[in-house]
Amino acid sequence: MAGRSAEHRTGRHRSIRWGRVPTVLALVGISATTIYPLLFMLLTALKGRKEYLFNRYGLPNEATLENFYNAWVHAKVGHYAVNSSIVVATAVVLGWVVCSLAAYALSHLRFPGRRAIFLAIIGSMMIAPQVILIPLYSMLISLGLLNQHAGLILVYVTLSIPFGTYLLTSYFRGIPAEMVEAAQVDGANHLQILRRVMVPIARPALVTLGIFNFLWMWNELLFALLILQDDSVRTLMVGVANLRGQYTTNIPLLSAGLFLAATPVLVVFLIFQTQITKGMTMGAVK
Amino acid sequence: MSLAGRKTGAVYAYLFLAPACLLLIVFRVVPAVSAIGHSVTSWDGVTPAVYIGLDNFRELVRDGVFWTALKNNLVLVLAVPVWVLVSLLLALPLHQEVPAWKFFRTAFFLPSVLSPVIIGTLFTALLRHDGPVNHGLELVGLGRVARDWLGDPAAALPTLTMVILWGVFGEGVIVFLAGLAAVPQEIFEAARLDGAKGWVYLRHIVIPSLRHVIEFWGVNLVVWSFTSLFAFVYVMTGGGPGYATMLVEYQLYLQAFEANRMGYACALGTALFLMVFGLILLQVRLMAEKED
Repeated sequence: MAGRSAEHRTGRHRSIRWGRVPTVLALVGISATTIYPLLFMLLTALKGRKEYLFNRYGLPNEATLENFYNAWVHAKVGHYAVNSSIVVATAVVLGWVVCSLAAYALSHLRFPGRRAIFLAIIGSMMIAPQVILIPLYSMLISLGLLNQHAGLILVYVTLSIPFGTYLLTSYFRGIPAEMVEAAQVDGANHLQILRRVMVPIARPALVTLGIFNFLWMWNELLFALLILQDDSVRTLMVGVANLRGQYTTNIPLLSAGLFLAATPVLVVFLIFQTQITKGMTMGAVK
Repeated sequence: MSLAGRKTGAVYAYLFLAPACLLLIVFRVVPAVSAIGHSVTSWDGVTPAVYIGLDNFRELVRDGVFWTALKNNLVLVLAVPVWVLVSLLLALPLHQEVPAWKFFRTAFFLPSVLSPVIIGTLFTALLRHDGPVNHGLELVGLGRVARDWLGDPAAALPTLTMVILWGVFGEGVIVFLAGLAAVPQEIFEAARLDGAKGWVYLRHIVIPSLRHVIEFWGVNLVVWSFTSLFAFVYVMTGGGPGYATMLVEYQLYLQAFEANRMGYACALGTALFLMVFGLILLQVRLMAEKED
């Protein structure tokens, strides 16, 4: 593994390798392009509207939280954030339940058609979301789920099933069958085994799945835009996309809104970076 | 396990699979079949659909906007090798653990967690005619290059491509880092001792040992470029100026929800489905291979 060879290497060479200087400088430059836009967003958000006119790129002379307040209250970012939280939290929890049930069956139970069902679930990814958009939309209308959080939640959970089932099935397969059998001898049924044996052991995979779903669901625009059209139920990304039209000239306020909308994912990213990268590389490397 | 135990096992299995399968059928399979069915109809989404045979597809073939959108999609597909190479080239020094490599890894990955809505809005502000990017160009004496990056018909699509690259390259770096860590490190050590450097090292050592990861990530990006760029276009250009940044998925959205031509949009969706189908099949096969 990289970690081990690294210790090994740094142990041998303590001296600076000058050949690396151009590489490192290039990496610094590229890091600047990823960090600067976010910094620009934050610094702009801290400036008053007037100050922004004559001081675009410097540090704010008089930092103000006014923009954050206005974005949260008047531009309704707070209201949209609550809607997003309701939708995403519910969908993440339901995603856990639905995918771990399916994954347990696919990894530890024997039944006819197991492989076919596994492939069908993964294979449903072949249906790109845009293709189903229109019939799904008219179906949600007829089910009375348009402008209902429940409608978007069900769509999100469904979209999360193929990857979630894939991830949890791989993880559950690594848990020895003997543990299931031992629990059965103790008289536990499969639901109890799932809850008391599988879930505690598979916690890392569940955390990865939860973070993964949180990130894309929080960030999603297309389905949220179509399913939740009423301003009272709108989610944050739809709200932010509209802010852009409303406040084209008020860049500080727009920046504050963007920053508030991005804060949850940035916080989750900084805390759970390892889990995110693990989940992401699941399909690529095993 | 006893026979009875096995039987209850099967009952449990179907019960446990029921929620996932039911959701997939109701919200994914049925709408997909319905989309293909509606592609041969004239339908406004409100009044009943009217069967019109292959008229939608005949119109599609003659639709200039569709061909422009398809051409733009193909430009993005042609950019995929560049996106892959950028990520790969940045993953190499991080794998060799240059100073502060963990910081670089975090910095590169940062944009990947942001919503296209946020990335798009932010870059619209940065790339405005009076925005920081143009100010920066003037500062270094490149004022002549400065322009309204997303409003200029010639610059809009390349600019959009660059913004998307900004949003996604870090994810590629992470994927390649994991790939590099999974390769027996002796290969790299031996190559270095043999004095392999630069292009030779990349071409004969790195790329062959990462072939599967590169394949996986490349296919992933191609599929993604056909199906996941709606938000970027919606926020940044709306498909314009003119049709300079129109993509098939965005045209589908406009036809369905701005023009209320649901039947025609379903035909567009069917065309998109067929285009992407083969690619995703390849992707699933790569994933299933790993599974066996």
